[in-house]
Amino acid sequence: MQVENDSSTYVFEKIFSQISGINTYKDNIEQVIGQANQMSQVGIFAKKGSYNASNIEKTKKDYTKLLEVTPEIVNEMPIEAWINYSMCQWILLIWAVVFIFFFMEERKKGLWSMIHMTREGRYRLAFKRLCILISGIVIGGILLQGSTWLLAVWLYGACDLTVPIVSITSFKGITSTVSIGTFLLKVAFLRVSVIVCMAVIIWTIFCIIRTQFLAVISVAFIGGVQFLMYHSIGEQSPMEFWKYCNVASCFDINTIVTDYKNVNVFGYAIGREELTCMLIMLVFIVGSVSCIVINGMMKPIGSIMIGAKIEKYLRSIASKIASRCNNFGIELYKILFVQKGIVVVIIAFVFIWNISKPVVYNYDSFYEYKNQIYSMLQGEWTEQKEQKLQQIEEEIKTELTKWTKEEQLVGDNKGEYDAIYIMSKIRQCNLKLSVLNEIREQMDAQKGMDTIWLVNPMGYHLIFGDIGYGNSGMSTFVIISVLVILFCGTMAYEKQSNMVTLLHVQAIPNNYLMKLKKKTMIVCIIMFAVIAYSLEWYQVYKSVGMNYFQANASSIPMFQDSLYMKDWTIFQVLLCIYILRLFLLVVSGFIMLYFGILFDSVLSAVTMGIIVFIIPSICYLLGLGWIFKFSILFLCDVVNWIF
Amino acid sequence: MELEIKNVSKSFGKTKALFNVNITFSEGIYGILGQNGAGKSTLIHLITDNLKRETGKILFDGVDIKRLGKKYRSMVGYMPQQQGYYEGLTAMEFLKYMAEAKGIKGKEGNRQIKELLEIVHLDKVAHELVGKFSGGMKQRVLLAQALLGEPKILILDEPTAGLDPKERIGIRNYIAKLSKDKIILYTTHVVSDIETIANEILILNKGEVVKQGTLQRLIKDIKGKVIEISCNMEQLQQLQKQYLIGNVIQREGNIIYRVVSEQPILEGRKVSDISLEDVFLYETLKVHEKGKIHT
Repeated sequence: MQVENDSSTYVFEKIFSQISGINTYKDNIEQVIGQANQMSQVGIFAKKGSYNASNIEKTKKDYTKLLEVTPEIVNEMPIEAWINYSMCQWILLIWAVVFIFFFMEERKKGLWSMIHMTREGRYRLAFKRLCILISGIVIGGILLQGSTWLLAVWLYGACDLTVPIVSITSFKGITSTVSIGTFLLKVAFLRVSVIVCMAVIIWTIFCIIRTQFLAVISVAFIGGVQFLMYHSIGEQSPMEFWKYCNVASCFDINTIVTDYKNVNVFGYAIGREELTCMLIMLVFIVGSVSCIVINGMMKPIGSIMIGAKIEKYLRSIASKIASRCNNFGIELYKILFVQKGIVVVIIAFVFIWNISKPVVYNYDSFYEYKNQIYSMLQGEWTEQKEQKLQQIEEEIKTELTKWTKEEQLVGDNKGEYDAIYIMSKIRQCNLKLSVLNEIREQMDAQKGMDTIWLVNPMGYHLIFGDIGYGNSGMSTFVIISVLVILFCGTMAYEKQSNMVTLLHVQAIPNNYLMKLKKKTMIVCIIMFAVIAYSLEWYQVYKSVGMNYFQANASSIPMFQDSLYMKDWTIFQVLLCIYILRLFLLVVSGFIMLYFGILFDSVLSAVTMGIIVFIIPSICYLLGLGWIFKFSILFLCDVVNWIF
Repeated sequence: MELEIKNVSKSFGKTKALFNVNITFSEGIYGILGQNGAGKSTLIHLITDNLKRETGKILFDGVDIKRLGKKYRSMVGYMPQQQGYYEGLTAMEFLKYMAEAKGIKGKEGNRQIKELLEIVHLDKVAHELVGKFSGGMKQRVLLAQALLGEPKILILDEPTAGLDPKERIGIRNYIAKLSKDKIILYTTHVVSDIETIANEILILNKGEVVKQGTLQRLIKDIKGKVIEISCNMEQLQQLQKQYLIGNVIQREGNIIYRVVSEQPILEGRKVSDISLEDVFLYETLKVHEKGKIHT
């Protein structure tokens, strides 16, 4: 999600920041080189052969070559958006895992021993599958990243790709002299390479561990450990090498390419990007060879391994618990564990966790200032706060007057400041005044009320507003997607399992199965919605903070338009929104459940569900035409209805 | 052509699945009989190299099958006990997939597939999904894939499981025709499957080969030990306690208890039409105690 002010302010901030960056480019580099030279004379940094000395030398070398290029003004926005959009990697990873699950199908379907017995059913087949996996990831990567780039260009406009990458001033840590086009291709290549490596590792684990359940746990465990290592080990720690020689680190391509960082590798300073490339190559070679060898050598029939024993034990516990539940409990167990719904749910929650994180660009001083003012003044409006506001207003006006005078002096060639600098200062003053005007408007909207409140509206705009590409619908869209995958195919699953005919002859009421499914679905929707929206709220609350729910709803600009809720508190409005959302999600769930009856196989039901429910919702999110307002997401877009 | 199993043993944890098995197979049909858990499938998995060997050797024409590798596998056709297939593929597509895996490509592959589909009477449904086939049709698809590549060694693990009598007879007769220049290993616990077609019969019990030989020889070995006793229900219960190895038959309204026993039984009459089932019962249910056989 992007935290932005209105578009013109945003654009001007960016241009001024770029101009300022370009003007001070050479100075900044020379400053870094100068600092490095100074440090190399001092104490531990002077000790030859040490990591510190090696780090200083490398930094000097890397920054010196930047003096050969000259940055230019360029439209940064599509590049920033594309680089910062890491969702492609997650989607690509899921795509790769789908391939791996298809490869493992032969084991589930009882074909392994037959295929293992054939002439080319071992090493050669493994090699072919490896090629298919790599090709699939590469093609998927090209399509995903290509389409994301096109979307970024469509949203933010095109840019000159021949300009040096250092022109993107928001990426302060880049020490590459290549053009933007080359840089983007490099990033795209790295992203795909990392996913290929991860896929190869995952496939190797699945090949070694016969029990699929245990293989999934192992992959999750290894991934979790790597993630913890990456996020917990400190920068200067002796374990720093393991922080960066790590799958989770390699996955964070955005940071790798935009942040300058050298890693201590046995006393030598190696750039994080170079280290990542070496790791990728090593893992790819070792992983690919391992995959092929293990696939070829692994026998379909093996000794009972500890994995199978653990699985058997866990299944017996699950079975004992399930046997104490009524059919409702068993239904829930079936959907979440037997049909692997829990995997879909976890992925959905991870997705929501990531997309709910507000992305604030470093140079967006307007956002920082706004937050600062609100932190100072928000809450119940008092005389003291009014006086404070007036005081701040006065200070800004004084500053504006000063810079306006400086501007006149520049015109007369008498000024001591750069014209661009003065313009940016004037712009900042005007932006600050606009923040104060917004606050005044918020006060005015509450005229006639017993208590006037000042509440930072940023969080509510992030959750409910139409910022960037429509964040208000994203979490709901994810919940709808989960519902499609879990419930569109649920009746088809019963038909496939031949349970429908079996249940039909039992002494139970008509539509027993459907009623059971509906009950389970309602409980699942409530559970998912509570967790999903809580994750969203937590992420936003962590970043911008949201308080004073007892304040008037009209203190939030986006809630002012409703005729019915003018006298309500923020809490009451939120409660209304979420209850309505929940109700509409349940209605959507019913629609999907009945839709699924039309199909005999889970795959057809879910595929059609994706076409009928998810794709139109995506188009609605992207604002592609009025016809997509008939999507199910539009139905659930309560905020749109009310406000 | 010879397939030799030499001193092969295999354990799963504490359970001995196979113990010191020594067999030599040459051209012909070998019926491998045994109860569930006797070690038939373990033996098959070792021969197909789907299971890691513990001790012993498996040699084809004097060369270890591991050393032969691809060459050995290209000579083997294997029909597993577990019905394995991709539901979403048609019979034609599935056979094409298996043909490719066996290294049979292009026109030759297509020719063999077409021929085999006709032989197993699936040519009319070649383009239908395997997932929609009946149990018998699925077995026939699996048999067809095992025959791809004209293998010299055909291993059929319970090939008639789940089939109706007519289909069972059809498969049996077809396999009998193939045996001239092939080694065919046919595992089953349905005695009638191999009674008429097997050149030699192996009986496995608790991981060991307890009996091996032609049907005539096996029957001759228990001649005089098969007795039929006419009785009523009360007497039957008594007899069942006394003679553990027995089969209850209803014939013309009478109850007949057919017993296989080492000891002479005065009350019954000796039977001359001894079947493979009697041999199977005798060999698998007797208990050895210090060399003495008790029934």
